[in-house]
Amino acid sequence: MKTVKFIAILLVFFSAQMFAQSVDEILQKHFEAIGQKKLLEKGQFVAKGKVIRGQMEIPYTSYHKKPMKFKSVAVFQGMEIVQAFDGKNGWTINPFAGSNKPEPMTEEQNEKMKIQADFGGLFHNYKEKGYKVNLLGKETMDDADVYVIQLIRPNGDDIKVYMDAENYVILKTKFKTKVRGVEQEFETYLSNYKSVDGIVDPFDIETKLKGNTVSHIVIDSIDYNVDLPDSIFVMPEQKPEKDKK
Amino acid sequence: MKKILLVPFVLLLIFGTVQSRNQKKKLKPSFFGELKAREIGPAVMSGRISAIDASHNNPLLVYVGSAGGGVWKTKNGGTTFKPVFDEHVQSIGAIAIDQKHNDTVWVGTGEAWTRNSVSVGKGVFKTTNGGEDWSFMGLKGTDNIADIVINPDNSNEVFVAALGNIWKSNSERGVFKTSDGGRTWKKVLFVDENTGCSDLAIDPSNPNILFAGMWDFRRKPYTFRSGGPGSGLYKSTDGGETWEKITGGLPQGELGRIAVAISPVNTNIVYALIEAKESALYRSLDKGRTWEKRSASGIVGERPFYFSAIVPDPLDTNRFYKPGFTLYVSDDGGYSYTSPFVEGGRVHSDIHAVWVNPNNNRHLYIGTDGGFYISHDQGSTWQHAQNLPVAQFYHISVDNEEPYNVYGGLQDNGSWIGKSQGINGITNCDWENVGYGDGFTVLPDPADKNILYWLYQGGQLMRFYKDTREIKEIKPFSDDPDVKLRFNWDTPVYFSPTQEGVLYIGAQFLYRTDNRGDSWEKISPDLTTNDPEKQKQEESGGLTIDNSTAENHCTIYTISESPKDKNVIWVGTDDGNLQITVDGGKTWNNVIKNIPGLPANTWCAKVAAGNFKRETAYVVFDGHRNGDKSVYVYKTTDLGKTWKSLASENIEGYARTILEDSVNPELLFLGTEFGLYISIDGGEQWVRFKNKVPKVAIYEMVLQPQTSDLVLGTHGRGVLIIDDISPLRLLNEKVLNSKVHIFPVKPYYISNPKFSYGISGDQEFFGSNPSAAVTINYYMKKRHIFGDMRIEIYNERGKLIKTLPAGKRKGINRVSWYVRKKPPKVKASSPNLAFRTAFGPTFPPGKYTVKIIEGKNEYSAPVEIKYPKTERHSIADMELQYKILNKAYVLLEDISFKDKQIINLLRKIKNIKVLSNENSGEFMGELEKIHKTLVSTSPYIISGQIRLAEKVADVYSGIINYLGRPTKSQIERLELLEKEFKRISKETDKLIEKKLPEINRLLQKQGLKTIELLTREQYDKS
Repeated sequence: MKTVKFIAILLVFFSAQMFAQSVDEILQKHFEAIGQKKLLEKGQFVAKGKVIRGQMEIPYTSYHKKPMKFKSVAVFQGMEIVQAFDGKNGWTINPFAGSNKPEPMTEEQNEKMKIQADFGGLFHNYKEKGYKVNLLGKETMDDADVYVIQLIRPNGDDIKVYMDAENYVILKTKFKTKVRGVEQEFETYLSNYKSVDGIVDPFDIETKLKGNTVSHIVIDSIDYNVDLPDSIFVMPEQKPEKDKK
Repeated sequence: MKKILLVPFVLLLIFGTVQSRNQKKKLKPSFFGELKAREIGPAVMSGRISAIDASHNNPLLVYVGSAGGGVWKTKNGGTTFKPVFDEHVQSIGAIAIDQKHNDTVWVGTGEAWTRNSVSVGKGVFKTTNGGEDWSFMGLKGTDNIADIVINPDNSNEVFVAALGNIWKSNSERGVFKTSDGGRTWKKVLFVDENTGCSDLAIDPSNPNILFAGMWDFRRKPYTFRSGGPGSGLYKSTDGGETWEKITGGLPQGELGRIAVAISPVNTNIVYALIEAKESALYRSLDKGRTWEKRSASGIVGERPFYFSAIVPDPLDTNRFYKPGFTLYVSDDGGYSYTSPFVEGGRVHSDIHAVWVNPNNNRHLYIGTDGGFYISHDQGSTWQHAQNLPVAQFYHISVDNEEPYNVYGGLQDNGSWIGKSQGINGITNCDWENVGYGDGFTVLPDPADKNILYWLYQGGQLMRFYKDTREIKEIKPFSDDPDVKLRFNWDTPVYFSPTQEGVLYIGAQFLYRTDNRGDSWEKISPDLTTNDPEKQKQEESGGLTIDNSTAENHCTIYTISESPKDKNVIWVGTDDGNLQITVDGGKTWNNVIKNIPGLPANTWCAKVAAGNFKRETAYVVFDGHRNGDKSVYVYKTTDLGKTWKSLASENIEGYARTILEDSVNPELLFLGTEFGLYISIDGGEQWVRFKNKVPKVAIYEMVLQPQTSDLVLGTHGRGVLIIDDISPLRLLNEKVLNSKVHIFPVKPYYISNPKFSYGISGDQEFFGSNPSAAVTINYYMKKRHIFGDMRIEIYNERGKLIKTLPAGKRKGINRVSWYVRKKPPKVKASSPNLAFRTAFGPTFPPGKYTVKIIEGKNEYSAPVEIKYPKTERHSIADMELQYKILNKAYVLLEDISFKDKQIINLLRKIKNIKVLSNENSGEFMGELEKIHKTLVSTSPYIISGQIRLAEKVADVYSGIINYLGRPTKSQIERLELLEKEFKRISKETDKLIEKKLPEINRLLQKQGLKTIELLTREQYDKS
């Protein structure tokens, strides 16, 4: 009986050893590696780059502001496609959907925007946000060690983050989410990490669905020394159209 | 002192060399990086489906198990499927969904329809998340699994019907039970080492009651026996712990395969299909105590090893389905049989799996030799799922067309030609049927594009004319009435690589023709062991005689002529001979004894003469039909006198085929029953190639010479193509140790975009085309994480013309450069103009440079852009197209600039408060008017508002898709529009020159900043 207990204790000890680093310790190192503190101090930034989809290359500017404001403007042959989130509500302008007027986003799109707009990143204050974070273990990616951290949002979104075990930057995410009721898994690869004003960001973000690249964002510049008014994130008011008589 | 110093230095040198030699880089799957296979089908005829299960609550959730292509999941009743089992053995015997928790699914591997070509499983697997991850649950040695039954009241209690090894005695067979969800297993019913369990039934009203059909059988390469003393029907009443053999009312004497099923409506009713001297269907109305013979019709006795199953209707106690050559149904408890097909029935023959919706007995799924079908009217009509690419090729070949075609023959699905690329992908229409029966080798005639050769089982060789679809039978006949030719089920036919038009076929003798099979020359004696004991196929089958040529033996199975010497011909036989002639067939030498470590009579699966030296050959033996799953791969460099084994422990096998690269003799490809292996060092190290190549049996591989594509003929997943493997040829030690190594970039031929409708719904199979871009291949030793990495393209003048994001993974990266300029810079106010100008013109032919920028390092390679080799367009025409298209491009940008200049000016005027309607209103009005003539201002997609920019875009988009000469009308139209623009532009400039200074003077007077006109330079930068 004693032996059994002893073995059980040993097992606990070993399994604890295996994950000697708690997920919070890993996240702490991650925040240090990417300059999280400086990012929060800056509180806003503008990124410029392009989105590549197959043969198309679409210039793109995104505006970010603490804690949850976001706007992106992509320009396709002179036509602007806007996606924005004012902290509570998302809205979009998509002339290719038939209108130049801003349209509110659906609840599902809003949920996605909450991830996009989260200035401090998903892991920042994750407990307050109601996210569950687990360390799933260590894996190898391209023969190098990565920590696999799972983040689950209250709506069921399941995001697995593959964090370089040497440099504590994110190399890949697997984002499992429901798109209009159908579960889809997006894989995103992050690279070309660069430091601007002490903040380290990936300048190359490639997203794949079922192994095929669906979007490739290349960032040319990030500017932290900007002053973005709140108003740019708010959906422009629409005057109701007068009844035609 | 100096000397002492020198000694260690020398030692270090010596030691260093030794060490570096020993430190050969271990080959890893990660080296292949982005190199991956693409699937081209076919799915039009699909392939053998061996098992089906669907959710009772949600009948649209279905798992389909195939004989060689893994498990496929559909959530929408078959509209779309997803392969969910690619990393495991692809031969599926049984599938069981836990009806209490639909995310839990059990898969028993190793098909149970024990035909000659049946594969081998590796035990039981379970998923608890709907197929995303699978855990191995044991029973590896069971090899083939016929059924899995879950206790409906206790999900942890599961029973497995294990057939065991088909080819030899083993004890891992019978009924296995787990009570802890698969952690531990207990063999609860075992008869003997030759008897497996062919079917299980559990009583849903009392899961302690089970029935098991036990089957004594054996397959050998040359015979099959169904039936023996071990067969019998067993019953348990204590949850499988103990079993009793049922004898009352069942036939006496030796029995064969047994299927058993309990009616879910009235569980007192049990059906048993029993193979015996007189095979019959029996029914019990008292839970198996007594039995009544209901029918001994031919239908119930059809090929028990292939069709032994009974599927009771979930609502009608008298109705059940009986799979067979076709689908049968009985409505009177097994007394009589009919076909359920009434208004339809265009269903592939050979039915193996049937599933009936427990809540709606009009809804059925079946699995056949030709795929998965759905019925909504109780089997009257059927819908075919033409989206399961689980075709089982025996052999494949390719031609030299551009794009090339793939040829091959399939298990029970005849012979086919498929395209390696379609219009915008490969669909079912891109596959054409050319031959019937079971299909094997299909060869295009190298001298006549209209002719090809195909055969059906047992050497029935045909010459086929594509235009008229005429077929001429051309097999050789024996020249001696007392000698019967023995052709293998899968008879080898082979074109000489050195003599155009010379074709070989192997019986027990080797034959050669040089007149397309009109006459044959016998060029060998009997090359087999000619063992009479292995030639009793007329007795094969056991209780049910079955002699389809599938067991033909003592035959030639593989032929290869040296590309370096037409007189060197190799022949391998199914009974384990390896023969060589060096004088074109005058004399033959059996070199099998020279091969070390090879058991006698091991089937020679492939012999391949080396591409570089006449003395070299590779040979693969496959012993699985003798119960030996070892990997046997050998190489000779002295015409077979000595052989070196190339097998290594990490190869999961048995092996089936080998291919030596046509450029680098160190690069070898090995096809095994469980996937593709590659060696870059002549076979010293092998590594599995996983990228989109499942653990599927690779039966044949060919390299297409123009594209360097590796084309894989799989027995379960159709054709897989790894596009352009040329980087592998250069993947040597030096490259593997480079930080970044760029491979030579192939020249790019400009091509036109292709149009096709995509409106066939989501059910149709769709295989992707090869990349239509310049493909930049490079190797990276390590993943790039920090700092800049990108690819830049420079033209001949050294001007940077394009920047691309780089792939950054370890191993081979593949980046596509679509050779197009940026689209013209326009300001579209409607999507119409945006779409018409979405693509830029192709860059002109010439010499370009690709540079990979990685931090401060640069790696470059030249790439040439060329016009396509086409008879339709002259170079001058294509040059004219380029010129005119670019003229339209420039004009579009000029118009956009002029428009922007006007808008910019209008905005500036509006923003200055001192400017009133009085002093600038007229000017603004005129500008507005011009703006409206230049570009459409309507935001609506279909506004019909065509202005100057839209008119030019109309010409632009009309020219861009055609590589040749634009029409005269297009050229003239463009000239007209250019003139029109020049006129408007001039007028605008004149207007501005006149009015703007007036306004500026006014502003100056008031001490305000004057208005500056937007310059072209400013615009281009914006």
